[in-house]
Amino acid sequence: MLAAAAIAGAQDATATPTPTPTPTPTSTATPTPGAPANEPVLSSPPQLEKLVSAEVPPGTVFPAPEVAVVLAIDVSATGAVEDVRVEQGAGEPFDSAAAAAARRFTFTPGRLSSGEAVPVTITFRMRITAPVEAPAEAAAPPPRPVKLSGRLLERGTRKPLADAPVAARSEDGQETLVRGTTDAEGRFALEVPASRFVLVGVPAGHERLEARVEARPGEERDETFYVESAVGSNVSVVRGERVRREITKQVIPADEVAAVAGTQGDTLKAVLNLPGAARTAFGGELILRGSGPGDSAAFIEGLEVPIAYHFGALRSTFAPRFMESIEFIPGNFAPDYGRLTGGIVNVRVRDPARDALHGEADFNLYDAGVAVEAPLSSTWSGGAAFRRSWIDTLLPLVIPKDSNLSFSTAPRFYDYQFLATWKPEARDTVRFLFFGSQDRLVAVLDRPVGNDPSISGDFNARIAYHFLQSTWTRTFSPTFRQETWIGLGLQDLDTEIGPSLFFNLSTRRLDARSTWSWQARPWIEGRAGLDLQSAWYDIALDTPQVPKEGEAPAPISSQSARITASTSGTYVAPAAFAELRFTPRDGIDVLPSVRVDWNSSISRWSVDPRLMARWRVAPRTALKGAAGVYQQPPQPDESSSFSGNPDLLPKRTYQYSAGVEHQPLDGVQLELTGFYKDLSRNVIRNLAAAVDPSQPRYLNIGTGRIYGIESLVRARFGERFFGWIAYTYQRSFRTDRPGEPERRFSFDQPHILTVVGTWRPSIRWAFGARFRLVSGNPYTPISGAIYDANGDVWVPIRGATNSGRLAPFDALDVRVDRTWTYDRWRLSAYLDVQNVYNRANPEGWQYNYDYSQRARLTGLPILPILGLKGEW
Amino acid sequence: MIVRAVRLVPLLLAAAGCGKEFTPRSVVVDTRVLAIVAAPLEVGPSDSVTLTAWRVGPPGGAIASERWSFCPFSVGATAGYACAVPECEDGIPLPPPALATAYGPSNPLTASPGQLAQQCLALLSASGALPAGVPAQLPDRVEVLFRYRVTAAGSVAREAVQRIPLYLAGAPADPNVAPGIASVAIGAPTDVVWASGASTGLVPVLRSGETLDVEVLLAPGSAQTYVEGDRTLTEQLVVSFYTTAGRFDYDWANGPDAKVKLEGKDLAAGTAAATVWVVARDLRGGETVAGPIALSVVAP
Repeated sequence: MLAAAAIAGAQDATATPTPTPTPTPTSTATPTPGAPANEPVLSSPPQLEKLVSAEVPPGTVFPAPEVAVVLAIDVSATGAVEDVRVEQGAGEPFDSAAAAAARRFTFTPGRLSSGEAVPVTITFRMRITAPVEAPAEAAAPPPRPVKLSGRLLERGTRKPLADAPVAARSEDGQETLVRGTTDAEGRFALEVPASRFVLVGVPAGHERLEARVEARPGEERDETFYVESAVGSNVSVVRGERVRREITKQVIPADEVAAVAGTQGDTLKAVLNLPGAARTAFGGELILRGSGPGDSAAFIEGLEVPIAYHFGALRSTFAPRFMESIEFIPGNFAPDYGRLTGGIVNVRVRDPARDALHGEADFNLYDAGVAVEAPLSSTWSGGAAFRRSWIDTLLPLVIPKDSNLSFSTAPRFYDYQFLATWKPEARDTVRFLFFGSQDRLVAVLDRPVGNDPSISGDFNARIAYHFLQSTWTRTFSPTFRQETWIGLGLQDLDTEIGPSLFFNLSTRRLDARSTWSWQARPWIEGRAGLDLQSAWYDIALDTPQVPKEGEAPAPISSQSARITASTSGTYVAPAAFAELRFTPRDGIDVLPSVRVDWNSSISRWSVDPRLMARWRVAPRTALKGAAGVYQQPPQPDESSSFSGNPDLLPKRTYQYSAGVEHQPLDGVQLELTGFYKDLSRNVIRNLAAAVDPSQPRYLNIGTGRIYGIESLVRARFGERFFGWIAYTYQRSFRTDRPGEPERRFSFDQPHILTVVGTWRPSIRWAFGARFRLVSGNPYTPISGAIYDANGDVWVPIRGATNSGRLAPFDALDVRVDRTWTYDRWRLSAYLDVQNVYNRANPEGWQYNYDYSQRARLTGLPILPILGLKGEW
Repeated sequence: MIVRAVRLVPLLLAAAGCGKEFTPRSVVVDTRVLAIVAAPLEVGPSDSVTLTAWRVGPPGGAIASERWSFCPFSVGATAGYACAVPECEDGIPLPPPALATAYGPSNPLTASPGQLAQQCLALLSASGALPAGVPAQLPDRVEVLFRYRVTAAGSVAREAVQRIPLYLAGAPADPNVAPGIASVAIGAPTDVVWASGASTGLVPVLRSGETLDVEVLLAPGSAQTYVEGDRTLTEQLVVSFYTTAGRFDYDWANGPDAKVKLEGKDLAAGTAAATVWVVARDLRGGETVAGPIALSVVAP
């Protein structure tokens, strides 16, 4: 696979004109929103393995004690230097000497988060210092040298500062006595021919270390030095490109968005601020590019999880500690994924720390959590995290004492992650990831509530999942690679309302995926894989029929026709996919692909051909386009024999998108993408079944269309500022039955504007804000009501579906972070204030018993959330 | 389904007292239909059913008009009980009972749902336009619908429906029976104001700022068992309360011993009397009304 990435930014290195050991430069790369929106994550920039000193002719006159030459070095995917260019010269003979030396450098290749080695261009500042004058004849025997060894660690995190130049200078700073470089663990050792000197360290991206040392001649000392990281210095920006398999794929590094206002540090919540994601009031659904909530899904390393957020949208069910990045693809995704017609959100998990024991303890209004990670051996590293909510402690404080509601188990959630990584050699990585989540509450409703007498008695809700995923990745050669994982899981959903309504589903899952890629020639690459979802389930239910999108829920008491079953079954959905990548000329990629799915619930095959193309028309501008077929099996209740119609077809969407990316200047990226989706075979309730039970409950008779434009401006200026402006214009319509008028989709939000920014003036403070302005959701007006005497409920008479629209939503969230850094740990506190100006945003209507009066149902008022986190 | 379950949490929080305060449904300020009492509750193809609508309203009101209609095939609650065969609902008139203008029970309507449904199918067949999805023959079980519309002078029009299960093979051998109301006590458990289907003559006094205990005892055996799918269930008995003055702390209570409090608040000046009704239901069509129960009111 031909892939190219580039790093720009200052990197300091020193070199002397004499062949003495010289410090090795450190390359720090932080992929950021300042990078192009769809950039891969460069997790491991090239590391300099061999530094060659620049040699200038003897007798060269230096204009200053030190001159610097800034070089652009193209490092190939194998780590070899392909080309060197002088970006900022110091004149001859320094430029030629620096370039000649750099051509003899060798690197370990830069790697993406996927492990793939990619070509990278780095900017390298080479300092050439004037040769030290030969010391004068000693009048007396030199003192015995001081043997100083030690470690350079980042202050607060104790992260080893590898490849950092260190030197011992004379007390007056005029003379360098000896030089060295820290190793991978941040260690160094110097023999200093003086007993009083100044230790100088210049780790990239950190403050300069200057420590005065006084020792006895011949003394051996070992010390640890903590160096503070520096905001805005030595930060590289990825601005290269790699093969894109999706034309709109936002890769969000987890630590980047941890401080986004309004998300309480929850990375998975932050992605909902990207273009294409509709705002949801309650529920935390993924509404991507106008598709229904069930048409998109969240994945952890490719493994689909049943619920992405605790209790609607309070927190994500996978804690951010071990998140590396999040892939957000609102549509036209690659053939690796199927069974969906919307979009996907995939969490990439990082490996545990391999340098030292690290951890954190986190406490905030919602929950408290703890995490640890450490190397277990030279090849193993492990980590664990656990989080539990506080809601059950706080909720009783706000519920009135005379309330009709009492909790025997107040709402609470927990989630956990255990992971272990084994890297027996560079080309193999094996990872075990065990993670899970549970939301639970048990309540007692002394009397019926709302407008429905059926809703009373015990209320029990429990949603839990537990997965064990084992992944093996092997890079057979730079052009041949595979990744295979298998996942075992348990899912439980138990819901009980009152004595007769319940839904209990217990599922054992076996999922697997294997992807193989081979780059036969630089211009062609093939990728193929298998993707399996399977499940064994036990289900017992007695429920009314669940309303579908666009349908209004009817009071439970008014529904005499219940769905009852108690059964077991299996579900198998294997799939195979293949993709080719042609690069007919530099800058053009064409990716045809196909995916074939089988689904046992409807006993049908589906074949989804897809095509993506990308053309870099200028160094900073690319055009892109994609088209494809996306098919999705019906929901289980739609295709089951006891509640639905097993003869249904998968619903189908033709998706088209085209766009442009442009980088007007370093750190700023613009994206504009238009899309159109043609929906057919939507599963719709068969009204005839209400009259004649022998009729199928659902039919593939619905259609729809969705179109829109997504725009994104992302900016990152060092580590001081990052942010983005996302604006989406989209319309989404459905036609439920032939001959019926087209209606709005329930989350049709024409305008979605989100502005996010975080400013870090120093390492101690960060200030963030988020502003959202979003069209109100459609709603179905109610013109009257009929009294259902059997159920003692009023049944509304509704107008045209979704013909009304709520007032727009707008809210400003702000966040302040303060960090105290100590040598061995770091404490941070944040105040995240949602809805600062306390706007009463309408989220729906609340009606009286006979629907003759209504009042706005408003969203959260101003809500300050305070959090504390200690990291070590 | 998972997300929907989670979304019930806000509903529970609303139940905890976080919702907007409307006029409670238990406060009668205009004409209301409290119940449609049917007997029997389930019918065979040739059985007849008798229906009585309970209409209540503020003192001094009177019923101006009423109308009954029948629909054998309703689209259901999701569509506001629209009739799938409006031709039948409009074209097959029911014998109208004499109008009872006073609030209280209407004069009873007696009709045979099975025969009316067959008339409907015959009407549709004759017209040659059987709507899509409507079967040419009656299915084994169908829930037919009686619709009742009522207007009162100076008040809003009300519409109510009563669903009656119609079994082609005949009504079940163990039919559903409406729950019975053994007694209603207001003020104290011994202050029984309603027993054996009639007022005891005791008139409790509701004073401003004070609270009266209201206790409804349902008749023994009111909670029947029934089979749904492969499960045997016990009926959920619900008692609803209505008053023309004061406020109940809850609109409903669960039987068989249903208790609420009637608070003497929001009493309009000059109010001297109030009327209370109690309706017991099994939520399967069985309804029993106790009332009117007279209260004396001491307003501020």
